[in-house]
Amino acid sequence: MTKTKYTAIFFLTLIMFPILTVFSYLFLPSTEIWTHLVDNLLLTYLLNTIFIVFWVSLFTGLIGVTCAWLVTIYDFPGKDIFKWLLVLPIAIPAYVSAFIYAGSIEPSGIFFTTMEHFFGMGAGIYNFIDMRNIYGVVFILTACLYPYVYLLCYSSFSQQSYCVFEVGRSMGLTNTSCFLKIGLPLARPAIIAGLTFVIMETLAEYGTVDYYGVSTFTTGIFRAWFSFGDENSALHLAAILLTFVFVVLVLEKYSRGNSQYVHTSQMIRKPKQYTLLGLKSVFAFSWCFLIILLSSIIPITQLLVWLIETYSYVFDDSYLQLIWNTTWIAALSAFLIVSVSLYFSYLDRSLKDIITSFSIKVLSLGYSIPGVVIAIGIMVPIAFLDDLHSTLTNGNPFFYISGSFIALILGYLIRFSTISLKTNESGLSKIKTNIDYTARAFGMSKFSIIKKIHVPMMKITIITSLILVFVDVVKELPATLIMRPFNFNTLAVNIYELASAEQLSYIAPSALTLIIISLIPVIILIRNTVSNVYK
Amino acid sequence: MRTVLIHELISMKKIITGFLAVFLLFGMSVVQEVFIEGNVYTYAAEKERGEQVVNVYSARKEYLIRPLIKVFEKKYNINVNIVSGKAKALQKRLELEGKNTMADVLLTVDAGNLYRAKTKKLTKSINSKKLNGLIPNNLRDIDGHWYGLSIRSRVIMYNPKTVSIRDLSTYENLADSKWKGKICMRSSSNIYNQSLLASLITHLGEKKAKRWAQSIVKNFSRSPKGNDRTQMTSVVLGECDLTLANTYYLGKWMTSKNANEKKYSREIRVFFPNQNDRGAHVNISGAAITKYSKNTMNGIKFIEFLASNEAQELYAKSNHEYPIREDVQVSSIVKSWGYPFKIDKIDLDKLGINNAIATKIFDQVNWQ
Repeated sequence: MTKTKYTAIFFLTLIMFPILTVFSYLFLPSTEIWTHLVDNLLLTYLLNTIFIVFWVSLFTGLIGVTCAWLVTIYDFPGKDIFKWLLVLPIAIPAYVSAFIYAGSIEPSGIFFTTMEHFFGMGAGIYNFIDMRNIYGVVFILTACLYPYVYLLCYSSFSQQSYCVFEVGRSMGLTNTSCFLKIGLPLARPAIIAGLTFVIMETLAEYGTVDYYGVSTFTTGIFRAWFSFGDENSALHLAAILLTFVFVVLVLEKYSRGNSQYVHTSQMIRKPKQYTLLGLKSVFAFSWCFLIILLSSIIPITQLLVWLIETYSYVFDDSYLQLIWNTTWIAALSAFLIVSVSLYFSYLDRSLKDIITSFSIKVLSLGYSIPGVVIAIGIMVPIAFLDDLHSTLTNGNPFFYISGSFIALILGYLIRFSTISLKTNESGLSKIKTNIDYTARAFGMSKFSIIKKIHVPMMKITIITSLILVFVDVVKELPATLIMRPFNFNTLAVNIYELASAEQLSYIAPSALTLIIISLIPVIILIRNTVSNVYK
Repeated sequence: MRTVLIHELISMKKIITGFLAVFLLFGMSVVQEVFIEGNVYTYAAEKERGEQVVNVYSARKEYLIRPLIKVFEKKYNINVNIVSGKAKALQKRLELEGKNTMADVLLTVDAGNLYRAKTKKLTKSINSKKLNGLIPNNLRDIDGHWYGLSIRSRVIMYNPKTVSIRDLSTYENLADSKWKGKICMRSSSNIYNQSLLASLITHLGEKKAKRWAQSIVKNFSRSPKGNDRTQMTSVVLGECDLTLANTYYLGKWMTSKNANEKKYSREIRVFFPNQNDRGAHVNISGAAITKYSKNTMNGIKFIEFLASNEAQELYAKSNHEYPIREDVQVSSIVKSWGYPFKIDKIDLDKLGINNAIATKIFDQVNWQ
């Protein structure tokens, strides 16, 4: 028991080190720059961050829940296609969407060109729509993040036992009140989990807020670090951000209390679908279509138009290399991250002690730490290890960890194990410990319990984790940019380079490829989870 | 029933085996990537193969210097390995890696960054006679720590329909209340504006520079947003009358495949400010050898190559910048804006020294 515990604590500390590095700065004395930040900027950072987080969670929650409810319970034209298309934006990184929308109303963009061509009103649309502000940020983040809520709600609604609704109806509830009084409360864990992802992703977002020129905690960290060269203040900001997230996470857990969300009936039948007629079906159709139009159709159309303009410049050998690099690093990272977090999840389940679960909570913060902060948090201890290695080998080390794939993958591990940990948590919660005991009582061996009970029950969870992590690594930009080894470029890096050189139309080939690469596993995921529910 | 079952299953031995397996797999993939495919560089592998290499951290976009690297590799038989990224992030990486860094050359943009690299002791003096001969005094470090490789100028761009060229004169003049509601500016988090303000702090003093920034903010037609192209678009489309932008963005418009951008490039004009006194504000991109470079000679060869005739023409032309050497021809596009023009011969270190003050001023006057 104790041995396992100490090993666990050892590994957890190792992985938490970068996060602890950030926290440790909270206790360092403040600098003159910090006073300047507090006097002039801190309030803006705070207000902007709260504004964005509030509206993004409200909108993603609204869109995710309503769309999921509509496509699971009702039947209306296009429903079967919408069900799929609504997930699509999960494959579009927010920063790419930000580039595209900003570009679409500029002279090379589709909106501008169309208005100019037909009405001579290009200037009109350019002056009328302004994406580069805080509302633009809310819009982009909502469009890119709502699928997290949608996906989780979708699977929650479709797994809700049909019986509860039957009971509800027999008590005289209408469809709407069924939704409000039964569906919604039962989906609460899914909604909260989805929103937690959204909030963490929003807090760590740098690309979009920076490109749209909005000052938040993340851009503040960059400003303190790079413009003022003051690590201390930068990490002060980061630590405040993390404390905030930590409080939210604890509150979330606390608010759940002891309520359990388990269906007593194992008869999960496909809910009867109610056909919507007339105005109601028009409304359902328009709502889903509007969401898909804004989040996927417009950005992808813009990319396709740019692709026609620029494809001849981009396709060469180095382009294939980009695709290969992106894929293998994401696949390898996903495999490692999911293995490690499975180990931690099982450990948490079996040890059930405060230290382990607290450490896992701390590790879960990774998702809300901006990539660059993680990078620095890792590079500091690694530089120390390299020094040690170099000294031990008299200045002839075999190789350096810093600037290697190990450092990069460690960064991904810290940033993305949250996703896997959360998915495992919900997967494992379905395997009640009673099941293990019962199986034991029936004389099954430990091995066959794993083989016959855990593997089949956790299969979907593991596939889900693998895919979600894979997609996130494919989309990751800031940590990759700062930590990658020599001659190693990914699609995300390529997109960033072209966009920051203000060559927006040239991002089309890489951006479309990136979307396709992350979309393929997502489709596999949906096929697996969605179609397996009713089997 | 006290013991929880899973814990028994994951015994110490299995944990270790599990982790070993994971690391083995990981190790294998790294080995494959590094040694078999050979497309990723390690220090040891290079020494074993006895290859000549130079490792570059580049804040210049990789696609801009890739053509030059190809020529260099062929000519000198030295392999160039590169990581590109944001100037300050790369510098941070160099700093954290300390003496264990693999980087030999730091290619970066903005004199402020070069200055900071030097003061943080990330670079070393090379004092190449060849480079000293080719690059003008004011565009390289006096101690030979860094050398400029191209020049960019931040100038006034205006809409000829609404602005008369006679009303334009200096950067200082833009603070005049006659421009109220007529100026578009980029955000102050951008290094171009920070360096420009740093130059004004040097020339006018902190107090006057702050007043200048304050007045500019009062003259804004809208709050800062977007990149240089956004400002130029706003000028053409009448959201404001003039802005400050780097000249090469106009070059990109002129050579654009997009019909609108091409059209707009004809509807905006370049004005070089302060031609009757100190000259227009310029900045440079440049290179330095890292302090702990393990391939110093190759690094010097690389920088010398970038200053050569052949490279200079390509280097400046590929991005419509100005070559660092006066004897190298500029492209016809660059020439069309007026060349040569009077350049502000400020000590470029000052842009770095005054950067923090400039950033603070921006925050104080609420230039977002």
